[in-house]
Amino acid sequence: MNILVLNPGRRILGYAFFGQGGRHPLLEGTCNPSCGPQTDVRSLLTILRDLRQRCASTAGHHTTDVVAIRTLYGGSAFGKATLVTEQVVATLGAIAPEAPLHLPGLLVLIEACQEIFPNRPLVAAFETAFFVPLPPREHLYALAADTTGSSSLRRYGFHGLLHEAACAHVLRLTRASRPGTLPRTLSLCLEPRPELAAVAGGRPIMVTGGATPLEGIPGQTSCGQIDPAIVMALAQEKGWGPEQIDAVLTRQSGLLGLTGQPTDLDMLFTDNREEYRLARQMIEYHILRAAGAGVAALGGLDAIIVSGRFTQAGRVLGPWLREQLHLPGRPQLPAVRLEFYTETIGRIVADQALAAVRNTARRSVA
Amino acid sequence: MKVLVFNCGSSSLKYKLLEMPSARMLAGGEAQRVGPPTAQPACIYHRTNGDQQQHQVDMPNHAVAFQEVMKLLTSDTRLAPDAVGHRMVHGGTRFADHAIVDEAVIGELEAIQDLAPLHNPPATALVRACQSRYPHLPQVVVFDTAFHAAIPDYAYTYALPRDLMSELGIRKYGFHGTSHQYVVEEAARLLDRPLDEFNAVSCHLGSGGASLCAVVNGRSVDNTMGYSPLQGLMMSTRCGDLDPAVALQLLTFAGGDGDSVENLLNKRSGVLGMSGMSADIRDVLASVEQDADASPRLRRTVEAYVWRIRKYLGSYLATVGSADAIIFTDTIGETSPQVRWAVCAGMEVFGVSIDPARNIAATHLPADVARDDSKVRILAIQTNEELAIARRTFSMLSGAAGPLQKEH
Repeated sequence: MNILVLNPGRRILGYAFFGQGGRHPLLEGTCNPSCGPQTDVRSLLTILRDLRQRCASTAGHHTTDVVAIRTLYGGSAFGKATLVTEQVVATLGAIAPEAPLHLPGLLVLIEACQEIFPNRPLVAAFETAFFVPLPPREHLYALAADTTGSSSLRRYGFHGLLHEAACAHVLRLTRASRPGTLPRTLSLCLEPRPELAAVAGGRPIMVTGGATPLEGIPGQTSCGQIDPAIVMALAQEKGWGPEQIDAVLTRQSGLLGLTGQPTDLDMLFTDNREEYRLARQMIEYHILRAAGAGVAALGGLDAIIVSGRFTQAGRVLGPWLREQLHLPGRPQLPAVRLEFYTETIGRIVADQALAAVRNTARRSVA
Repeated sequence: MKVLVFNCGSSSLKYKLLEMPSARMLAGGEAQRVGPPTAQPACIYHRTNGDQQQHQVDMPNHAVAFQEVMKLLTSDTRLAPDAVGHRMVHGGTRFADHAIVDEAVIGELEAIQDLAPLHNPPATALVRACQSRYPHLPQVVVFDTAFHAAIPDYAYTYALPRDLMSELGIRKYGFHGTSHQYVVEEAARLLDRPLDEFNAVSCHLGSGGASLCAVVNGRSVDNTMGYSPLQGLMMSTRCGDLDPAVALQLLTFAGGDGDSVENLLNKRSGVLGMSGMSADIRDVLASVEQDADASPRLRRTVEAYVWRIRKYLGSYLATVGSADAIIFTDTIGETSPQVRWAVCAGMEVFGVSIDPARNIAATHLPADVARDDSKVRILAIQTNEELAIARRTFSMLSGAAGPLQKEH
């Protein structure tokens, strides 16, 4: 089956086209405009029509069989990749206010896909799905139930697709070497907003991401965990409104705020510049603390797996973390397994879409 | 040297008179309902030699409360103080260490009082009143933040624009330092370890505020509280860690009114907000234990409260390297074996093994509730901030700034 994976971002639409069984995309890239709330449907239709054409000529005039959309938020309603039906569209519409930056644009994209790829299965793969089963002790904030007027407020993680695939990889490796064990795994995802999750077997127990991707480990331009009182201090001391504060916390903070220049994790961990020192140590320290919390959540540790696009940083941070984590009560052997997961997000979404299509077909036969 | 220690609350003034260095308590008490008149009259409960007296007297502010306390003490010449030690919650970046009071110090205290708007202003007013009424009585200000002055930059810095942080003094300050430092010194002494080689995680679990402190070589290297006491653990009425985007969302709902959001997150969240029943985790624990059908809401409150402590304990055990001890202190830490158990059970991977029988039996503190084979000791120690302040005051004024555990 040929699968077209769409990755809608705020400013660009990413795509990857996979031919029958291929691990690497036959076609990939990005195009404008974005799929934000103000997306113009007509220009989107033009883009998708063009994309359909290019996919067809790349795949030797075979058609696109499945379209899959990487979806940043699915709330508690979507615990796995889902075939888009009328019912699914209605549910996404109902939860759209929970993710006002993503879901309205997603609904426009879905409509456009249905027009350009009629009668083709369309699958939404959610970044939050993996974290739906987080235990309440982990996903609840210590707020009164009526504080936000919304029952949907809870912690998710925001790199669920990578964590899930990475931990499934660990599970396969451990089954081969130590059958019958469920590995307790720290999954470190090194993306522009890094995230660490603690996973028992395939079940997430703890994650650094929050109700939004802003919480947790600082990112390329996002602040990560801060004292919530700082938000109020910025309102009071600077007289800033919520939008201005949001702009500072999400786009001017993180590595950019600390180093004063656009910086990513690979730069930070391969270049020994003095102006990177503080940011580098902060990232290390955030990761080490999160890992300690994860081990406490798991009650032990069997494996660390590193994923995400910043592979050079991963080659430094993975061994560093295994070395630094001080676990005096853990038996020396077997040593904590350290793995690197290198599959791309596009291929992961394609795999999830295939599984969703097959499961649905199986169910309808049954 | 008779040291009079003041611990100034927003509407109370606690005091203790201690003979130093023997630490013998000569007198103590508390002025309650200081400030504007309330339904009940303001009153000083004054104790000397196991004898408690009540004095009803109007105390519109802390300066008046101070004078009334001094009247009670100086009516007996044996109780006239030789020095005063003040507890101050926030020392900002200006006071990395405790300070002997002079005009300049008072000026700087007044300049930073907005950092802790509930606590610093009355305590500062008290220092000022004391200085003008008794100019020859030496005074020392002991800061809760001073113990945390050694936290390294990568732990105290937030990932925010640097000019913004320096403009507004935004960084992790950490709190409860006087208490953490006291129990850490006690723990090192109990375990007969040199303080400057002592690593620990100190858990100050109060009935109100709570924080964990990571300790390396006897010094604080991290604290769960941050720029303000709001960050970190879930507390009686404070939410603790929260996605900043959620705080922003609340700010939007409140029409940009930062004060109302601050009030909500500080006064109506935490155990109180989550349980909807009580701000005291012991009440919630008791109803969950006694009633098998206790609401899921109460169960989740207990689970979330313990879970946050466990996660931070894991974080700090992973970062301090070889920990000698986990220390539990303040009301919950000292009196709730359930909380100690729930926090420490299943932490064997960190070399921590709690003994259930010792834990339950630990009513006379200090107590070690770890199993014999536990690599990390688990201590319950009664905190004594007043004694800690008296020790600092004594050592600063007598010029003996060496390790304080040698005073015993």
